[in-house]
Amino acid sequence: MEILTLLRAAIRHRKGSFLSIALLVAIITAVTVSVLSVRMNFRTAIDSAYEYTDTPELCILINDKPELDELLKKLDNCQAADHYEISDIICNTKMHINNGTDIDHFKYFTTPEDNIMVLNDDFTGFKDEVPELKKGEVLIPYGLQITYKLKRGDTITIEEAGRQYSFTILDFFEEPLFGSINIGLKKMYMSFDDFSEITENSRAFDEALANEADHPQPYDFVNGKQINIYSSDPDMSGNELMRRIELDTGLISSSMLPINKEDSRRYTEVTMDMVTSIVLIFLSLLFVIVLIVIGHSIRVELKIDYKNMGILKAQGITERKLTLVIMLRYMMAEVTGIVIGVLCAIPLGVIMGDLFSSLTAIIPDHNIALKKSIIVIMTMLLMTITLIFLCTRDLSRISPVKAIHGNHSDFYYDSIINLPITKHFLSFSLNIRNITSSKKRYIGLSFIISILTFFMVNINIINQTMNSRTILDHAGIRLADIDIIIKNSQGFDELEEAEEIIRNYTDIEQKLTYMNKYVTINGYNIGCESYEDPEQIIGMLKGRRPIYDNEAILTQMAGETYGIKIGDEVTISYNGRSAEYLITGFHQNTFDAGMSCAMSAEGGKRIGIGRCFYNSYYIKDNSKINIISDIISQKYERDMNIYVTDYSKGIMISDSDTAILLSEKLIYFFSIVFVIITMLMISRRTFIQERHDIGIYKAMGFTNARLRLNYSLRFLFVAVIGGLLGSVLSLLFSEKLLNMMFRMLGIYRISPAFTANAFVSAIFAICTSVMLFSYIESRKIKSVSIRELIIE
Amino acid sequence: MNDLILKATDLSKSFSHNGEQVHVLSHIDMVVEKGSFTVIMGASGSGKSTLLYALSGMDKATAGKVIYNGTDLTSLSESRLAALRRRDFGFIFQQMHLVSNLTLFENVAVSGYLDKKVSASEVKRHANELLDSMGLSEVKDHRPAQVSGGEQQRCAIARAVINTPEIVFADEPTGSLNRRNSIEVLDMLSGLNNKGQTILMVTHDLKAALRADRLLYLDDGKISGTLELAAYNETDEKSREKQVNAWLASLDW
Repeated sequence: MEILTLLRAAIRHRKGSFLSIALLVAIITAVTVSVLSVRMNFRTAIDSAYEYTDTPELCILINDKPELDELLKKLDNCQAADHYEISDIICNTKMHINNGTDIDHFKYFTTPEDNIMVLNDDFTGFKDEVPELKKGEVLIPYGLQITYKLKRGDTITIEEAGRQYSFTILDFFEEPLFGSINIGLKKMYMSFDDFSEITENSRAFDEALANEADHPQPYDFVNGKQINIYSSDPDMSGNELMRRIELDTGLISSSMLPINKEDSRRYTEVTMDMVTSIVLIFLSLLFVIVLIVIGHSIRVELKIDYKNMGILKAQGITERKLTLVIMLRYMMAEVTGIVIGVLCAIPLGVIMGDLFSSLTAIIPDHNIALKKSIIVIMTMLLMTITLIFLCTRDLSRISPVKAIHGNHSDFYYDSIINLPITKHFLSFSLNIRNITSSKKRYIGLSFIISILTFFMVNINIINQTMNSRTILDHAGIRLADIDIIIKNSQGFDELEEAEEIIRNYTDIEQKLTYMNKYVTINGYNIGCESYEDPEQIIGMLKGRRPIYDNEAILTQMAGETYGIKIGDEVTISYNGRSAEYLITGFHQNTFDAGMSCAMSAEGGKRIGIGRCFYNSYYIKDNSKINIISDIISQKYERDMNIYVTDYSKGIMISDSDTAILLSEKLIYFFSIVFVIITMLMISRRTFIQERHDIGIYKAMGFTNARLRLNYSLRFLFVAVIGGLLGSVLSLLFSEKLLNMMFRMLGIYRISPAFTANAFVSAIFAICTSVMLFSYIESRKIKSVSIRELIIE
Repeated sequence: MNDLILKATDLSKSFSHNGEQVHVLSHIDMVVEKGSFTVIMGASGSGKSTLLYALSGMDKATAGKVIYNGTDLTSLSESRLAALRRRDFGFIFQQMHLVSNLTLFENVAVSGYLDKKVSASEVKRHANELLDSMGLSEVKDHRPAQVSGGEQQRCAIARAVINTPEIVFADEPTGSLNRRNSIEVLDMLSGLNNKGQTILMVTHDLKAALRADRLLYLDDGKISGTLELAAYNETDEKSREKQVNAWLASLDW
């Protein structure tokens, strides 16, 4: 009963700290539970989609070529494949929307399959029935709808074998294998009539291509096959399945594009994983901040309430009971926060789900990740209980005799740092004295601010690194001003003329000519870039570039994944041809999410990789790139595609820019909220502790305005120290953090863009909040009367 | 008659307690002369501390005026009152109230630093002089918690007079001291008064009251008696004590 009475009194008396802790915990719980739930919901949604659409472990797109029968026979005998399904497809590289926008993705059409997941009108779920496709109608994947803001009823036009076909978009569907906006390949559905017509019309084109070209490129053909392969061993990894099928059949290296379920999942979830990982790390540090605040709060309370605690002890209330009261109060605050947080996590989860839905092109459920959330919440509670036990050990030092006589230890501690109090810097020196004589109080605040500054600076650095062309270039991320892709042999002849057009406007500082294809290394499928001049390969990490035609390099990620080391001899296969190569180095490259290899164009010829038709230009003055683009695309429309990027508007890797911006906003928002709440709590406690001194200073003749300014300047000073500490931490650990994050994209080594702005803006935001809110909080100084010093 | 330094006219103070008006001070008229040592006595709850706050501008009276050097303190803003506290008024409290994270020297000097007209070196010299004269030079670099109550109170006196204020307001300065420390503190105050320092002190300690040259007795919010005494002299303390005792007895003390 006495515990209940004491608890009620304590909560009534310390409403501020109760609410603050509840609010902090509510924020952490809400975001943690929603992040965990969103991750679970997407994973569940992807699993359900795989199950509903009967997604194979491996999907191969291959040209309809004569040797296909032979390959399929081998597949029949392949132990790794349980069974496979084969269907006709029409490949497409030229498509535009009725508003003129080109759709760059490589796409393919097929006829309606079973169990297509057609989206409902507001893209929140699925239609019960798949609408029947009539001639002239298509079903478009949700990923394309998101990227190009397509609507039902929009018209798209495709070009196949020199003929144009227009279609109306009937509906959109969720496609779990190729659906993510991070995956360049897209699958679409057209009616049987349209499919037959285009197939028939393009057959002659394909035959001519096969006979005429030296090395016909897979993407140039119209007709092809989709082979869905189901694994015989559900535990076998996607890469292993591909390797075994390649070794048994050569089907992988002969295909246009193979994709396994595992890789598809990685591409789909990479952005969400990146954002949620950053947010979860940030949240765990925010919880450390909450623990610091609770610890600080308990220690201060034990000092402020020394007398009351002593009297309670004198009355026979045991230390255990006092600990229990403190424990119950903080646990009640935390549990209140958790309950509010879980309730808030429901709508927050929906918002986050919608956000990630636009990145993954997956429609998630909106469930709560109960099991994981309970584990996290229990961990939070256990950590708090442990902390409270540790902090309340000081209860044993409270002496009832001392408390009753009012001669308990002073709030202040002596300090070895005793800077003199000077007339000219009176306020400053008094502030320093206050800080150095109650270090624990300010060290806690400083530490909290340093953690928050560290995150804010880092997110600025990440943002600025992503916008630094030089850094990204050194990291192996190619960001050319102009890219010209040759479409046919005529295009190669006209390239010099096109370059002359560029030179009419500006100098070309650097030109890269390369090709990219999918190959297999020792049976493992991997992206491959072949360079006309291998010395131009960027992002080297170890070893040297592949100068000779029997050499290749691969990304460190691929090397680690496939167990290939520098000096190893590997077999690289493409389109049915194989050759041996020596691995001369590791590099980093974002191509195919970091899983790629590179070689010289001469090396590429050994396995039939054709001429390099990708040309990237770094130009001196990019202000005229749009004019250059217009002229070249008009003049050479049939023979080359030109793409320009204006980096003056900032560089962002499309896959991760949203993630970075989202993380930046979240981290800034929560940092400021945490700074305000913790600062208010600590400031409030500081005020209680200093109330007596404030009265003395007033009696000496200090004005309210001066005392208020001093008070907030002291917090500003602590915030600046915390900010500087956070900046030092950033200088020490930003590179590691950045590398850890970029590793998900396949970049192993990246130098952070340490700009003054990254530090100044974070410190400014934190310090301004601290100064502002401590000044607002200092208004209570006005209420302190000198009369309080007088005993009646 | 010496010059008047402080004058209260029709000073009243009342509080509302449980819906009822409690009159703590009732139509008080009094003066404090320059260089005087005035002591206000009275039973507990008689309103003597309230009178001290009202006279020093720490608290606003409900009615009446407090005139200091021609200015009505009741009409001054907070910043003007702060300026008065910096230069013209010094305070000594029963509980000393030194800033605990400053040394004794710093407690004294900080008050001195607030006067912009005096240089830092002059403040330091004066603070050292005061601490020396109060026998605190050995402990001037100690924190308040490291010295005795008497030493703390002597430091508080040094702080109160560092800016050579016109009036020192002392609220039960010996209230929490033992006999030996009380005498030390009272000797300090008498010494200051002998040098011309005006002192207005509230006390219920008879020994402290003997130091006054004018005693006011407050009863139920009103001044019910006044006793004028000759300047304090240690040698005639016994006869002085008899005189004060008789006066207090006549007031039902």
